[in-house]
Amino acid sequence: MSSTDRFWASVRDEQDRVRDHYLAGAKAHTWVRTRRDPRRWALVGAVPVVAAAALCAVLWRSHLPRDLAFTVPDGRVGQVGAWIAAAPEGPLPLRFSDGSVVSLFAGTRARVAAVDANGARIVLERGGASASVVHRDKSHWLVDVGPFEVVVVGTRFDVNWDSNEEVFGLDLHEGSVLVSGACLQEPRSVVRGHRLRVSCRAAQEEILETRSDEDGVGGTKPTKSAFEPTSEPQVASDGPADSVGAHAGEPAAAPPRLPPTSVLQSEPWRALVATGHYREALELAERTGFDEQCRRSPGADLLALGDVARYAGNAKEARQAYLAARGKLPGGGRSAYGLGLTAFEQEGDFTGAARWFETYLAEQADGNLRREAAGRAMEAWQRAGARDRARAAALEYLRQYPNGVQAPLARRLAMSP
Amino acid sequence: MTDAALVLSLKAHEPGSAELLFERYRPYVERLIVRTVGLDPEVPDLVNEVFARALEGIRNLRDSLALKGWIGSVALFTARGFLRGRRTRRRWLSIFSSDEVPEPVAVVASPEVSRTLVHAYAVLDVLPPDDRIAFALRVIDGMDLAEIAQMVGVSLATVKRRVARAQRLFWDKARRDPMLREHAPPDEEEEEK
Repeated sequence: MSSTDRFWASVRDEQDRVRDHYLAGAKAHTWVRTRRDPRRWALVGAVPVVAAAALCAVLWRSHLPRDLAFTVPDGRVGQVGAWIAAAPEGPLPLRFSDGSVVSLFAGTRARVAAVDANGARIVLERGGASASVVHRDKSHWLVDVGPFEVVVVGTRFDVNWDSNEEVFGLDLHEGSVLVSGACLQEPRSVVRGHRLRVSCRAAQEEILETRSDEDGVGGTKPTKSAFEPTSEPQVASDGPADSVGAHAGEPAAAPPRLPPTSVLQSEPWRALVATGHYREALELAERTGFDEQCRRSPGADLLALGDVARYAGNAKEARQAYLAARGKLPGGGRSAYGLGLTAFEQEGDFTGAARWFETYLAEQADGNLRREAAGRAMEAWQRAGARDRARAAALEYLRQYPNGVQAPLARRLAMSP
Repeated sequence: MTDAALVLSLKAHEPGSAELLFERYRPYVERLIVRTVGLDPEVPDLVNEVFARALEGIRNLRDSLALKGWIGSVALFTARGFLRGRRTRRRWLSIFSSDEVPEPVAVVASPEVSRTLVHAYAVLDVLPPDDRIAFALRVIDGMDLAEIAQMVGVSLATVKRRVARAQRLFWDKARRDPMLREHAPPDEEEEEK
């Protein structure tokens, strides 16, 4: 099957999936013996109707709220559609008239493709940005990043697209966003304190906690985006309470904040993880002895090592690291979730995956990945052919997350005989 | 009840026959409408209209065994009229728009609709309705060309021509769309160069 054939097959499947969901509550399911409203314009009445409509449209447009404007650092008014390149030396903040700030990382190339009264559409051709979007009732911002689109209402996040490695990353500090794109099986919702990472080349997607209290993974609050170039001077700040200005690239007086010294000294591969070089990080960990790493590293590091191995496509080492982490973290941390993903995505062991996801749900009553785990468990049971288990998981998912991203699948499974 | 019996029942206005027709062919009609029109908010109304038209026209159906093909024809005729009307409305509206290129219409305000699907239908919207219908049924639905020809009421050669024309136009446009270009087949002209 060619790439084009696969594309049309995916369009067909997605259309069917959405159609089932969309029409489930529509009135098409009830027979109404009437014609829909006629929409043919009578020829005789067409001209005055069109003229009146034109007049109304002109008047209506004249009363619309004003579109947002934005400025670049030297105070010049930004031009919609013009390419903007941040210098290699430092970030370039774009300030919008509603108070939102989008700070392009050093070396990033982007353009503001469109603005209206409620937001803007920003296209990042390469590089990344830190965005702080002011929430209003009708806010609607879009950030196009490579083949991805981030739908924003009001939030603060860092986003990055590595076009060479085909890796997308998004760190969410406040609010929530919806990410969709060709490399994602379905749109993913990212909530505060989580990082979405998608490797188009490896066909892998993952949401990680970045501010977890349960295991300390990535526990350093993101004072500076993990996606920003390392050569750039860092901006001191203190997490979610930061002012917009700090993210807009106005360096404060405090010295640059670096990862904890102990991490850098004892586990050099962790530094590579922070910059998204997973394969290199794994190679470094292997050179220093993977078994030894699993034996002596703290639980949080082992979770990260498991992630690294999984991203690099090494299921065996991912499993080894996650299993080692289980004995070192209270309640296993999120190791069961990692084991579930490894079984699901890399080993095709759907029964095993479902059990690991359910283990995570049992172990982590307040875990930040419960919704994802519940959805994954449901999907894994379905793929394993365990219809009863899938249906039970679907019902439980709907009970807890009736509006979750997996709710359409859950409804379908719940209604299946 | 067989289709032939159902047609007789419909012609005789027997109670429950309309409901049975709806129940039996609703999924089929929905599929045809969604394939050709996309996930437009008016899809439920269009489906409803197809059945209303079918009930009005059932007395003209001579071959009671051809019910499925006939109701498919009604669906496609309804879809065609809708697509034409929508194009006309958009042309009028575009007079008042300052945007050079219209944004893809988010046909259903639901996160389940991927952007790829939305972009694909935004490009399909550019195609003439007849070409679009043939293309959608053949390429997206995978329907047999002869079946399409029968339902649309044109010759097989005409359907082939429409599909080929739509295919060419679709990918010409899609190659300029960052979300679609990676799925495009090799450009023959480029390859020749």
